[in-house]
Amino acid sequence: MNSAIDTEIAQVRAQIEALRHRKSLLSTSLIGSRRTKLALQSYDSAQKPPGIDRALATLSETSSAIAANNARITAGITAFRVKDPDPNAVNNGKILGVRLDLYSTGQNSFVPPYYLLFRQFEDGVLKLHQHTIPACISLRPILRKHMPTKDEDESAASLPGHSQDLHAFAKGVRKELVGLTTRSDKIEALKQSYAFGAHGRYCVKDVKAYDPGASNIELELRDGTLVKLLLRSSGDLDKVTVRMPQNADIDEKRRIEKAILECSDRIESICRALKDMKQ
Amino acid sequence: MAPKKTLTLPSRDALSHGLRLPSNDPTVFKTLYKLSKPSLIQLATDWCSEEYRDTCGPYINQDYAPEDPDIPWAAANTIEELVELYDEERTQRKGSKRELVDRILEGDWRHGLSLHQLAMAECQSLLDHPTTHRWTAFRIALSPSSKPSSTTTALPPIHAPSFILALHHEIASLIKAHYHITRPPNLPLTLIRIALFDTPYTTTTLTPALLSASKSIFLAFPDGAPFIYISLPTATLKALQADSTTHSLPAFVVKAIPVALSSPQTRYALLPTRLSAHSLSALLALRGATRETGVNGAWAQYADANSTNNALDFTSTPIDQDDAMSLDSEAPGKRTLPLNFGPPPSKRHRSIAAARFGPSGAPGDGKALSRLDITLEDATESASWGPRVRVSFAGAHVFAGIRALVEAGAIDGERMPAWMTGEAGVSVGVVRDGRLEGWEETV
Repeated sequence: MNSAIDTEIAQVRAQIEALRHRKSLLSTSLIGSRRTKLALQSYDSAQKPPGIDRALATLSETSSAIAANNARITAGITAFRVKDPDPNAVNNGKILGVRLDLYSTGQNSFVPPYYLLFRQFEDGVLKLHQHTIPACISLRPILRKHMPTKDEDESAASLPGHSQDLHAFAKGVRKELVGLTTRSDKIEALKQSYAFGAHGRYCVKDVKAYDPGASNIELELRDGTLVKLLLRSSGDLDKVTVRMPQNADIDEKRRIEKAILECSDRIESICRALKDMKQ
Repeated sequence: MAPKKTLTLPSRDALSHGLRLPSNDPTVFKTLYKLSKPSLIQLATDWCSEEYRDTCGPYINQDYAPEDPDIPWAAANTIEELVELYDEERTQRKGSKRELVDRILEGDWRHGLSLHQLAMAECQSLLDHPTTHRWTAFRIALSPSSKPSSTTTALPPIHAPSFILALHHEIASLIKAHYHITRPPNLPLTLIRIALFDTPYTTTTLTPALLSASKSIFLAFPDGAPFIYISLPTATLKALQADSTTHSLPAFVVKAIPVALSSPQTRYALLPTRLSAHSLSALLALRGATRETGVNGAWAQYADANSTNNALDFTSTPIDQDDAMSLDSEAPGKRTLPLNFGPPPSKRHRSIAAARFGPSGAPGDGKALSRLDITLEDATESASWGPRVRVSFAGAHVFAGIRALVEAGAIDGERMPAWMTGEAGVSVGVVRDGRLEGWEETV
């Protein structure tokens, strides 16, 4: 009895959620359309019905938000300004933010954006203040290359052609992030692919990927063999190590290595390759 | 009959897991008594399991001499019997913790607790009472002498057993040590406990004097982040703070860590990151692998997936249009609003606190710092003399406390410097011109 009501309530809740989503979609597309804008602007200032001004304000807000989103989707690197609330901040709290948007094919959506926030000094020098880049990506080498700071050693800063290049820096960081996302996607695909195949001696029993940098993976095969994979930043296979149980045949080890190396640019097909290996 | 003399020789071997300590030693009792009762039962059950039986096994009649009538606890005949007994204790909760410890030390492990058992117990007590140790975070960085690597994912490859072998190679000639590696559940890190004994000799039994003088160091390597957290005995820490050239065994081991991490052509160094805390989860939040590590204080909202909008989400309002960050456009001097205008003060204070702290500074945010030491070196009128002012904050969660004071109106939230919001993520620092100096390089 209770459970029937509960399921009904859950259904209604889901329906409300779906309708709410649809309403917000419809209202966004309605308010974003040119026709609405023209219709609202066609009123004379004398005989304006009440509320038109507010509608026009919402409309311009929405259209600028849509424009910003379009810029983010197409450019991937966008900049914005914020004010540092710190009363002692340099240059009146001028902060330049850089937002990095990336698409993940595995998740079929954009990942939550990454941010770089720079303090901007009076002379235009930027200094990295806060960022949301995970620690497995080392920012220092990229910073050193493109964003020399005043208090770093003089020789590096005074080199000809070595000036501050925010665009190159953001591109460098984004490249690393794209690599990280690609590797995570590939590992996720590998994890999902092993769930299907279940027979055969060399079939994958477990996929262990604890590395937050998504470069190291460990596969455990049915017969106890351990396979360690090291990925390049592009997501391709870099190195493979096979450790078989004792008293195993060295030729077997070579065969496993060969089968894995053959799918080095598509690591998500390793499980299938191992399953199809001749016994 | 005189006791049989055991031959002791200087050697370079590590102390073995199975080396047993006398169970009537006060150090052993203290270690076990620190644990909670469920943890004790779990440990005792683990020690009986197949995996640990070789080094941690209990006193069983069939393996040892027949029962000694003087001991109040009857020894079990088989391991299964003992496991059942502890299971029963777990479900029925009959005896007190004291009784349980007595039973372990005088009954089931009357033949002594092995070094492995002691290490497991100490690691468990660290997890039972997560704020008892003071941890300091260091960055593992390539030292300037080694050539910069071409890869940008410059995490040092850390494999705990290999690291231990290398570390042992460095320190073995001076110290006898016992190593224990474990991965605590729910924490993304590898924990290493090193027990140091000040002797070069191999011993089959450890004398009580040696045991009580032993020191243990904890090291923790967070997953996927180039940091190491070190917890030293309090005495060493104090000595090191007073004089960094102190010669003591733990300090010697800490010096050997970067050497052990290095390999030919790649030399690593440990750089201080100006952060010490009592909780491992705070260190993981401030010097860990997640995207929250680099944004603190008001900026923490940039790591908050709920408040940052997706590029494909056309319906919500973006946060990076500085409304969320900036305060009311009111000059700092004019604070006294007429009461009948504007929101009531408490609400206003709360909104100021929200603007200055963002989502951080909440009691349960996992970034609890127990201490914040700041030296104020602001420029004064006279160049020759300036006061040296040191400010220390202490408490369960310093920044949550400051936030609460802002919300209550005790601290002026608008004129408060940013280092009081914890945006630097450090626990020690120098303030010049109202800003923390040079912390960006350390984190």
